[in-house]
Amino acid sequence: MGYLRIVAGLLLLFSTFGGTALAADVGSVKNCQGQAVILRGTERLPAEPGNRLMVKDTLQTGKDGAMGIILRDDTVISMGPDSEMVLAEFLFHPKEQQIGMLARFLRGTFTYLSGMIAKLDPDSVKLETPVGMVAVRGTHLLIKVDQ
Amino acid sequence: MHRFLFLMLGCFALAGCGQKATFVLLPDPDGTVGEITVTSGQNSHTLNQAHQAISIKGDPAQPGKLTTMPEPQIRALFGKAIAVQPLPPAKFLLYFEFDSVRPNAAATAQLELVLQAVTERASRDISINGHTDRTGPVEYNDQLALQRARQVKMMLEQRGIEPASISTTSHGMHNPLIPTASNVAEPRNRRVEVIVR
Repeated sequence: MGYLRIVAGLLLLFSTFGGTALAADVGSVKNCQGQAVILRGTERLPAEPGNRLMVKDTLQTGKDGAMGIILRDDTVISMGPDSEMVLAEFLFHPKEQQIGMLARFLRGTFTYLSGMIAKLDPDSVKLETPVGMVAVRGTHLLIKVDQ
Repeated sequence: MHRFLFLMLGCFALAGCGQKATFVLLPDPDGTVGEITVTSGQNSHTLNQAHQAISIKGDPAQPGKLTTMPEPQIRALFGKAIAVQPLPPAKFLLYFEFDSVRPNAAATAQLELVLQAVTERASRDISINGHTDRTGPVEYNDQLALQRARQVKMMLEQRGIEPASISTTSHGMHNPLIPTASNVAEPRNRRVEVIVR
């Protein structure tokens, strides 16, 4: 029993470290206005230009808020007021051929301009909304999600 | 009644009831128009014209309809998001003489363009990636590429860029711009790439 607990603890430890290493620095906040926050686990960080982003970050803007970000593969995303999105997955190691991203647009208005991942492997880019998902062929689009 | 209940349950299961999503295709910054395919349940729609749009409701039984969204409506709905959309990153190449860590004469003009891009973007995120051609040992080239990147970093710092905004990496001889056999002295591979985000 004690042994199992140690194994479970170690596994948890490794998975936590592994997750952190992979999640680090997938992009940064470029522009923001008004109320704009990054939700990371239980943390709520006011967004500022230069803030580094991590996988699983939730980005949120308030009534007067807006925010623009650039991801490591040069994907550009911006959001208008009362908007919320999640950087659910992001992998950009072209040499190891490990690339892909999943962004969930939950509510509000967004712009998306594709980066290197969409160029190298368009099928590995997934943009989701609560009612439908988008497959891209290297491009620029607008998304609006109403609740 | 049963059918209604079934539909209700379906809606809850998909968590999409009452929700709506609108997608609008814009031209890329270079003017070309890409393509998107929007999929909802069984329905799928392809957009490939500038300003083509589609709205989809949460109920998967309703397929959407393709329209064209006029410019004023795009501005009204998306103006604030468009206003904060960052400029795409700018990329520059500086070239080096054989086995040298000093960039060639043309680099001075390139550095001016780098500074312009930094100012335009109020950038705090500048990547400098050093490369070599495929002559010489791997370890030597890893170091040479790093020295090249550091030299360019120093030149940008001398021009007033914050050191904390700059990160340098070495690609050594592993990532040639022009693929060559080993031991080929290809000038276009002796370069530093500067990315301003």
